[in-house]
Amino acid sequence: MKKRLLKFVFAALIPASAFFIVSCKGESPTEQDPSATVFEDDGYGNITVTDRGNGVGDITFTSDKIWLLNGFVFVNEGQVLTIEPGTLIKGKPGTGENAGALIVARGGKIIAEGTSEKPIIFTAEADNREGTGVDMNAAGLWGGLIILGKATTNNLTLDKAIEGIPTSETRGLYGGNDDNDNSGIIKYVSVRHGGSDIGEGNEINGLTLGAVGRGTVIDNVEIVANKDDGIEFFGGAVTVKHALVVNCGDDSFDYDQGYHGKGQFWVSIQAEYSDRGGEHDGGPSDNETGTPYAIPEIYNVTYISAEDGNSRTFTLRDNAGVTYANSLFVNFDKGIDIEYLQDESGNTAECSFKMFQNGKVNIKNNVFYNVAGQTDNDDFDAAELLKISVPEDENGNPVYEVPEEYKNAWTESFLLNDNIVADPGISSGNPVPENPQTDNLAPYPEGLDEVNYKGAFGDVNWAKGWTLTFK
Amino acid sequence: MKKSILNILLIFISVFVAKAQDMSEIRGTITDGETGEPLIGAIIRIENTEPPVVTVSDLYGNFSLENVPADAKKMLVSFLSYETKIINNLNLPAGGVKIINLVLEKTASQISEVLISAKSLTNTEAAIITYRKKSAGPVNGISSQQISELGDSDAAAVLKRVSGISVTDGKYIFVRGLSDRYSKITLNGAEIPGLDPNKNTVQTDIFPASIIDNIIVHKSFTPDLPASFTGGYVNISTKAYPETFILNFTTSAGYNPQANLRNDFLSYEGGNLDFAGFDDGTRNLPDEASGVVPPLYADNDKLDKITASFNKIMETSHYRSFLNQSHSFSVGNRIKLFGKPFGFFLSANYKINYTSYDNGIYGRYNLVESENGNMMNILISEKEIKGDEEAMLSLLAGFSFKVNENNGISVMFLGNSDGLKTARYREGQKTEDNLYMHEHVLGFLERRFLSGQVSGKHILPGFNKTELNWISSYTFSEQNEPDLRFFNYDGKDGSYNISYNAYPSPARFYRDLSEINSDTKIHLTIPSGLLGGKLSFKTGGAFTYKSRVSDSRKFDVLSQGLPFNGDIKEYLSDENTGQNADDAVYGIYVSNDPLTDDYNSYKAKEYISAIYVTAISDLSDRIKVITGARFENSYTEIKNNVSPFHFKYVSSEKIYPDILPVFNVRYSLSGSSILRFVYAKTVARPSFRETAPYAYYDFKEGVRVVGNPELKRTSVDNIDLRFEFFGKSNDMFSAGIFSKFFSDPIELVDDPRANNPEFHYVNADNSTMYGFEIEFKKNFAFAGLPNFSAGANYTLLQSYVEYVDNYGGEDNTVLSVKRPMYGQSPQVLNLFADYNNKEKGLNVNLAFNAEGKKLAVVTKGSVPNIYKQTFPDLKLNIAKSFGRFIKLKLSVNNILDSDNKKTYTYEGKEYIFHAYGTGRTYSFSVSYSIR
Repeated sequence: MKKRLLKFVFAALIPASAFFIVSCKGESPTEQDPSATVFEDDGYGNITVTDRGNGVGDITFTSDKIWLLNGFVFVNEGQVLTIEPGTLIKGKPGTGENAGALIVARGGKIIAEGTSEKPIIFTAEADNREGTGVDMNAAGLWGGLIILGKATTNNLTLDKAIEGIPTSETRGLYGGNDDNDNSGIIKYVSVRHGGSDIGEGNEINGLTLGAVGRGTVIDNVEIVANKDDGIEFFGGAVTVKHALVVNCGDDSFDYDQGYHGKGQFWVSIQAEYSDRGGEHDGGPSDNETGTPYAIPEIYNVTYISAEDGNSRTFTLRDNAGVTYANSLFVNFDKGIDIEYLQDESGNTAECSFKMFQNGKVNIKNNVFYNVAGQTDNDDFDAAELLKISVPEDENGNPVYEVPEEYKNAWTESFLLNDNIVADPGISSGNPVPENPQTDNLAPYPEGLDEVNYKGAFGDVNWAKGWTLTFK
Repeated sequence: MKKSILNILLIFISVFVAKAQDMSEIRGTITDGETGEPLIGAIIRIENTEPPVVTVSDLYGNFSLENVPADAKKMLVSFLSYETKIINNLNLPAGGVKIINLVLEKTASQISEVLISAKSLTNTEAAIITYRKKSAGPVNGISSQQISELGDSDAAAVLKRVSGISVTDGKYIFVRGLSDRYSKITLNGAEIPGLDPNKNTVQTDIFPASIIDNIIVHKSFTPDLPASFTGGYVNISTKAYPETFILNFTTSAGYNPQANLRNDFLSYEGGNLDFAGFDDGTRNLPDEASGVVPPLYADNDKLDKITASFNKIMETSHYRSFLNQSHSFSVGNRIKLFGKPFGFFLSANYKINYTSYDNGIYGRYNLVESENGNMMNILISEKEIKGDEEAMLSLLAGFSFKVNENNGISVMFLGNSDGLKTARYREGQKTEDNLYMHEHVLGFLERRFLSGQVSGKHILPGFNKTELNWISSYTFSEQNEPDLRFFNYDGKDGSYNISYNAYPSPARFYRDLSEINSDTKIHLTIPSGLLGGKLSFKTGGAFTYKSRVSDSRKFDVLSQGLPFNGDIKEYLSDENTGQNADDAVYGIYVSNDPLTDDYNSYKAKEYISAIYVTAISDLSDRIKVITGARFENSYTEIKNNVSPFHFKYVSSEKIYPDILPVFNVRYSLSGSSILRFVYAKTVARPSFRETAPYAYYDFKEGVRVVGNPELKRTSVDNIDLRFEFFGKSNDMFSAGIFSKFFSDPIELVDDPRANNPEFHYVNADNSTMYGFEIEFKKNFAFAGLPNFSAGANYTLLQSYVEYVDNYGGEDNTVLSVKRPMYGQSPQVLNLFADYNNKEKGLNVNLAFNAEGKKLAVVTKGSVPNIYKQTFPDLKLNIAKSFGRFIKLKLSVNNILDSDNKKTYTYEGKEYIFHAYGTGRTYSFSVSYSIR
């Protein structure tokens, strides 16, 4: 930057200029269509993709090339991007809209069907196919994968702009009325080292799902070392199965804005700097209690925290509900907390705790071990595992007290809902239980696999072979 | 430099002393009671002298009578068809200069003579009142005399005194409750830069009171003024042409128990010239970082070198603060140069002020449903501590030269520099993320400008005394914000984190803005012989050019998994830099995105050319009609700093031609009361940033702002009806109603589709504003207390703006904005009481200012908007002269110890968004002056 110190010198003091208008037009690019997307092949098998407005078009990213995302690259409405198994896609570094990222806009489709032998890999420019180009835990080196659909959210407006993209870029809008919307297929896809800064105190998530509908298939994804959340849902009704989130900077699984899909076989493996296993918000702060409510059904998760971390298992707030069943939670410093709000007359306001009172928070048939220090099934303190949080004032004092009967009802729900403290014998290095937990399973809702174990793994590690985590 | 000043001083003194001891000089200005303008050609004569002592007032209305016998008693001032004024008991100082300023009233009858005592004739307030009385539209003003009595320190504080004016953030003026968008500020009639990257308005706190001769506020448009104002047009005139030798030295010290002489004043280690308002280079962007910063894993050795080149200070700490101080020196005289009158005024000012509080509260709320309706739910509640240290330097040199009776030229230079060093620390609960936050901000804001102006006034004798006025002004200015630092972290009791995803990462920000303004204006006043001299014309034109460059660069300070133990210095230490760090995936490194920087930086230009014509006709002795129109053509252009061949390059051009008519009637009910009606059309143009066709991220405010290339400029129909009464001893009363109709008003909305604050400029549907204004000033001579006077002004107004957008949804999701206009106060009140004993040299002034709550922050959805609450401000000044030269002054500011408060109001209850109190300030000053 030029340092322009004021020189106290007067040159050309009096503009003799009288009454005229100077019109100097800015130069404009000479190409025919300034919005056309540029695919620039360097002759060594690297294709740099620069989207200047028209999106990628109907195209196949072939596995014989390396595809480099230069800034935000969109699959526009009506376009279909097909990615061959085994394809390597890289994102350029940058902040905000200049970070390399792939965004499937509302009405666009991605067909990324990798296989366990030939996964599709999204990673940083400095990385390589083997994953040895950068440190295993380096994060925030590029953007991420963003899918936007037409399913419902509980936002105030039908259109919502995804984090980091201004509303003036209409391809960044999501939301609609079609919960069966189909954004394509994501299978055997590994997203690594993403999460660059988008300016507002948050970063791009590894996999962002904005109002994605049930028609979309997401099965077998890995998110490694993303700087923000691993997977974040903004409304929508999509089902996600076999999702492995490892060493992300923020929460592993995050939902907001009325997500009401299903999940099964979710795995969260955390570093000591990671935040919660799950961060679950009901609605946006300007419409927390809007509908549809955020009450996803999540079964068979395995959430493992770092031994010396200080993470919370998961948080329910802003009117979020949930079903967590047949799951394993291990090594978390803190248990589950739920937000309680009270109005001035002492009534419970609309909040996650109210959702619990109304039967919309169901934490059942799960196994906890070494969560908030509780390891003994015969002698544990359920109040440590299930907490209630209330707002605090500027001096750090609670704004109001939670009635004792509410605290008790919440704590007692642990045993009433068949949760136990037991050691399944799992670790970050090997999430397949040495002591399989197969008793007392909650029945499965429609659309989920009827497996006879708790947690994300039976006796095999389905992530083995195609992920960076379990090579 | 010192020597030449000394020489100049010697020249005055010799001029001053060389006079014959038994001779005196009389100088002064004659104002036309009919127009408020200078009266040219009035005859001023001393009675009973041989040889006769007589002169004629010049083109400025100025006169000077030399070699008047010190024992002369009587002076007569006359002009054809005007009353003759006779001044008795001249009481001239032997060998000295006596100042006599007069207003001559037109008289229809026979020659009338008015006898006046010489005592109160130096009052410049009288000239302002005459100007108010006679001006075409409603006008308010404040003179240097009032300014010195009120003891205000800068133009912003002075402007608060004017009826219907309020000031926000200590610098942006609101006239009649209309935001800064709708006011215009000029210096000696010429455009000056507004040092704010996102606004077009001028910051008024950069003009020290001691250089101000007067401030005139026009509340309605006349064709000779720029048309881009609706609330008010403010002209700040600097001192230039003293009537006699003047010299002033003032030094003052201020004490605020919260801010001064404290050991816990919040600040940080800065540069050696911070006390003078300059950064000495300490905060410059390191040379290593001026080029491309490689991303992580591209060239880690180079990256580490760049990271290490930044200083390690990113936290606030406690320092010792001293007293507030201000020192000013000014000198001026009117001497003969080549046998012609030459006036000059030189002034130098320095001040430093400390402001501090540790009682700040910052909160954020949303609205959630409950059984009995909604409730406000706390999201953030933090305590805030802040220390501000502001230093200002200013130099003014004004010269005016009268070539002959019909031609005069003035030159003015004004250099100004202001540096504000800010340290802010917030700590508290961010409930929405369940984090206990610690937030440090270190800032330094430099604002500077240098302005040069040349102006001239010419009487063209061959053309029926047509008067030609012109001014050409050129201003360089810059605003630099070097190394603005943010460092946020969370945790308590020994366990700390930097949670990159919950709040912005530590960062350094560099922002520069520079602007060049040039403004040339010509006015021609033609007293026509038509209709028996009852019709005259004024015509002229203007060409204004403005060009601005705004650059910004941002560096995030990141690490890959480096643990943080709450010690910022240790965290940023060399051992923890990049590859040096043992305990991390990668240690501290900086990240910069040049494309984002270029996207957020811009270059812009504006040209406005204008011509106007006005006809002034006296339909009868009582009715004066002013009709006319101004044509303005404006051209603006903005482009971001991205290369023109890059697809992220954006540019926008706008041309707005406007014809702006004025119809204005002044009806004299009697000699002292007037009824006015004004209709005028004006415009409000969007600022550069507002029409730029792209979204930029305002890092400092933490919001995204989206420009709108479709934005139309606002046109406004203004109607004013006003009654004014001017009595004896500057008594006055006025009352009026006004209304304004806005087509396409520009308003700010927070787009509900965005997850984070994202402000859009939109043309709202038509909006309207109605108001009532009352003002009085009364001297208590009628009650036998001629030294007491009191006054008040009060403005009541109401505005309404509506904006509807369905944001992509069906009709059922339509969201609309229905509220008062942004920044509009529903009422503004000023009160003052004054005791002024000239014999004893004692002046006591008590002033009160308050304004109703006004919209400060627009929120999303159904969350209540945030309003700035009333800040009742009571101020006391006591000044006492000791002998001819020494004056002591004591003042107390913010006597009521009011707090600044911005709140959400929901169901009658207030929820604090931001509140703090800066406490009372006591100041004491000594001045030595010769006049």
